[in-house]
Amino acid sequence: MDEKKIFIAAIIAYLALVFVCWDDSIATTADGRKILAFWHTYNDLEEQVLKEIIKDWEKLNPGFTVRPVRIPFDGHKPKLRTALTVGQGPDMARVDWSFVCELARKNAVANLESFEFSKIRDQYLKAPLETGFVDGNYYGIPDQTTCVAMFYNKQMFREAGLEPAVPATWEEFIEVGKKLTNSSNGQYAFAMTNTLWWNLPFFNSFGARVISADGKKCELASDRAVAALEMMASLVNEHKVEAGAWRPGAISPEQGFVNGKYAMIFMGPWNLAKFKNTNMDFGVGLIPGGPAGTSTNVGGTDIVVFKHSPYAKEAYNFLTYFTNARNQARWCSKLNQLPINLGAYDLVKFEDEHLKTFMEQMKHAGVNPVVTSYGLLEDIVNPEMEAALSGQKSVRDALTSAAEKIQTQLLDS
Amino acid sequence: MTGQSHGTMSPVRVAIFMVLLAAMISICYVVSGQLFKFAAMVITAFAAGDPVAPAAGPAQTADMMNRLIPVYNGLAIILTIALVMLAVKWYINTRAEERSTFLKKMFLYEALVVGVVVVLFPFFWMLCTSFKPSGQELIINKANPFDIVPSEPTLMNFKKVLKIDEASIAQASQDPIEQKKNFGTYFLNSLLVATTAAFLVTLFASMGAYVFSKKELPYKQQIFMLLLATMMIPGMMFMVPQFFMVCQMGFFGTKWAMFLPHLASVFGIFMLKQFMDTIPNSLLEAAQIDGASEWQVFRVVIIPLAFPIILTLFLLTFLFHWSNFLWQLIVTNFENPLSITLPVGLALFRGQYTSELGLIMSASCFSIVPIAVLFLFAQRYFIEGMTQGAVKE
Repeated sequence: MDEKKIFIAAIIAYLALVFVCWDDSIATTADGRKILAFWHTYNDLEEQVLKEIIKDWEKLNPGFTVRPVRIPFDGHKPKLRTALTVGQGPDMARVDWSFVCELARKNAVANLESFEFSKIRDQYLKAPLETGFVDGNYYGIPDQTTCVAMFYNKQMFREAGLEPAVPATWEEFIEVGKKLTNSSNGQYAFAMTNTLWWNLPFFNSFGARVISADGKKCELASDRAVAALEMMASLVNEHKVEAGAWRPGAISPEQGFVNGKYAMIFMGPWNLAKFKNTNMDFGVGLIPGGPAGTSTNVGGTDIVVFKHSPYAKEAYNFLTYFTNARNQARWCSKLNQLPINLGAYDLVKFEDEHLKTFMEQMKHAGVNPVVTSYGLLEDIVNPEMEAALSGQKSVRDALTSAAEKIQTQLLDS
Repeated sequence: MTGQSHGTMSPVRVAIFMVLLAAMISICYVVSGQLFKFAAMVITAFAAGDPVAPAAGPAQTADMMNRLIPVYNGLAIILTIALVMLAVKWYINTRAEERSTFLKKMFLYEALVVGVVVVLFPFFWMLCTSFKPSGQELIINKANPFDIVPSEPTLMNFKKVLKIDEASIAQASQDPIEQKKNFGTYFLNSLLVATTAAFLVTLFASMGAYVFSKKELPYKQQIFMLLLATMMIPGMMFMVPQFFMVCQMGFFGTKWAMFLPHLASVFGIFMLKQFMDTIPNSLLEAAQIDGASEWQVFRVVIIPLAFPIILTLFLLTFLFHWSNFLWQLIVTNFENPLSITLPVGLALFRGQYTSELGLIMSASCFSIVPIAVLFLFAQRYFIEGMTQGAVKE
């Protein structure tokens, strides 16, 4: 009986699988030290450096051990939300900058002022620090920061007979852009991603804020914001130097850039190594300046300490050690990342010129909008911006309608 | 399209044949060229072995690939010419009155081949990307945009995923847990969770469906309606309460937690009941007259007759658990990396802004294997079950 044989073979295979997989317990060290659970989302390389720094901290604090627990970045929010509901949360966690506000307003994380954070606060870069500033208090310590700057394809500049450099102002940008654009063979000076975060450099260089400083009012319909979006729309419609990469189905800025279709794109330092592997000749420059000079957005992560943790003070102590100037310099030199500690700015020696540009750009970063649900903010603003860019709505109408929705759905509720 | 004339040498028919032949040549040359290049690329990647010194790696493989260009292009040309000769020979040998049928068939086959290419292209892209070094994933070959096979193949992505690259081995020697924290562990964990869940769900659902379909039960219809009504509530709503229950039972971080809350499958009961309704009661009565017990009726009559639909349910449940990211993420205890399952493990390759496309693709290559195997073995039942469930007599 063939079928019987297959059946028996299947059962044997299954039992073997159970035998191999069921018992996955790992021996955990029990040497009497108190454990601080740290949920992070670092990658393999970052995790190695983290473990080195933890070892050094444990030498200074012999009664404690930090247990780094890696969770996927995609999904760290639901994981934390559910774990906190049943009291399974860690002592501290590294979270996306936009998640700090929700955790703070839901009363899950500790106000850092209770550990006298103001004493050391000034050592951090302002823009990343402000992402953890909610309702007058600080709740998150920045541990990693990024921003976007302007990447440009030197080859395409030379072919157009131009000196390869990013223009200093948006007016010059448009002039240069016209020379770089050759739409008949799909070549454009610029390509952008139309989401709020990616467009913050435009708004910030015009000095426009999305949310007021006290977090209570949406200022997206201000004259400055309108001027910024009008300039963006003119890149697409009037001067036709933008490729329409934000339209559904278009070639993305990253792909168009590495294939020599787009001469300039906004991009962060995370793609530097990848782009170098493509052997293309590219440079990085500061984002062109508007009325408020050059500016950019802020990305990255903050670390929060949870209120329920019995060792919140020690967790905070570890975090200040982890982000002090010396350890930041060590972290950033090994991983080629931007420091968040101003003290580390002098200690880090990058071989990569591009990273120095990013460090300079980072100093001019604007403040990100801090709201309870950043996802909802994007969901409201993005379609309105798209309507304005594609000419379905006037810029002022689009931003006014977005501002009203943000005010009623997000800020007043 | 077939032309109106019925002469022995209709120029319209010959013209159509020429057009179809030209289409065939281009399809065959592009597709077979890519397939042969892919084969050459795989051989190169394995032959180059360990690119220990990074400087030697890409240059070496690129050089090998360059030398293989005439080989795979030549093979593609030979294959195309052979196919053309065959097509011409068949056309000439076909009797004049059957030639329009021949042309229709030829057109049909070509259209089907194009369909196959469209369907399989994403898989082919996945395979090719998994051999590309970091940074090369998005680069398009300017000379030939159809050419997606990498010219500098590397096995690094596969090695990194399986943690057999140099850096991981060095790290693993210090930490025994690191050694097991690889894709293989995730894969086996997922296989266990998905098979156990699929088996138990089909078992419970078929027993439940049998009762709802064939047995007398007070308020049977009402209970069934109530059960169906629960399908209207999105599964996300249950997530937090279910998680709470799992934690209270002390199953957090165990394999039980992965599938226990999903064992009661209303969808499964519904699907099987609809099918079992079509089994005539007289068959059950005949078995009972022969002295079969309740269990025997279920095992000997119901299960074999409903086997296609049971297998369908097995496959659907297996697929669901194989790719169930959110629930497995929530109940995984990340302090124990050995309990991580595949969908969650795949997510670990993505960062805040970056995603290592090469790594994700090589991991995906492994992850589709069980589904492909299951479907190949069971596709006959699968399709049968789907259509039988759809038509109720």
